[in-house]
Amino acid sequence: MHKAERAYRLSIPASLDKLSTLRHWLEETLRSHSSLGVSDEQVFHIQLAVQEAAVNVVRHSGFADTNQAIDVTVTIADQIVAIELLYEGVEFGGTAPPPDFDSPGEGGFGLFIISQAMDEVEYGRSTSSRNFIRLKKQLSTKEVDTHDRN
Amino acid sequence: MIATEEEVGQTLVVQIAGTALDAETSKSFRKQIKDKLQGRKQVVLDLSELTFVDSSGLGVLIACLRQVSAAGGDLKLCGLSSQVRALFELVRMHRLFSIYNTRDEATRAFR
Repeated sequence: MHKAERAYRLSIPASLDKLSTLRHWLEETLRSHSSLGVSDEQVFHIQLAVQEAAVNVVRHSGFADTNQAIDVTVTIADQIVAIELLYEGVEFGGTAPPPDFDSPGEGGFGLFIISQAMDEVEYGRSTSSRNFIRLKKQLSTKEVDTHDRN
Repeated sequence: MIATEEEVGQTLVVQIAGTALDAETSKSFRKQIKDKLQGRKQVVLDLSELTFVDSSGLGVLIACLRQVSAAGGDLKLCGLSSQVRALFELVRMHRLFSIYNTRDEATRAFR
């Protein structure tokens, strides 16, 4: 039997000064979800990835004012943490090559951090005016329960 | 964003104030520190108050390192929390910077 999926939601104004609220809420959510054995490093990685995604939304989605919101949903099922950021405006997304470590630039690490910190990353458009960024992280490999097999 | 500055011999030691060096705060920190780093050859940045650094914060630290390197000097970091270390390791920046546990160790490394 699969453990029940649980979803947590937060809506923040699309503004850089609200991102610390998002980070703290994320940490609380991950640590307080019972049965999720999340390590400090995993919490950090998830916070980092969500921060980088949210910063890109704030900077690039063309919001004219901070009345725009970013809706964040964290879904935890078994040992998988799935996070979705929903926002309006110009879609942001794409892949980034790893930074050149011999001559690192002073910017452009954001997408690389997201791809390193999370197992799956997806960018897209969900409705006519809302865009999504979906991030997924598998916290531990889990053996399939014998009674899951048909 | 600069909490304290201290001269330890020839070394400028700067404590970064606040808990986050990130998209929200890193621009103003860079503005403040740029002049202070001008011409300095031995700099230690103490990150021990910080609990969060993102790519913007990292970018500013790299800019500081570059500035001091261009003057023929070196910039060292100390007091990294486990979160900040996790970022550095994730993007392999721990290979770029000289990182020490304490201010003392960092300043002694210049001797």
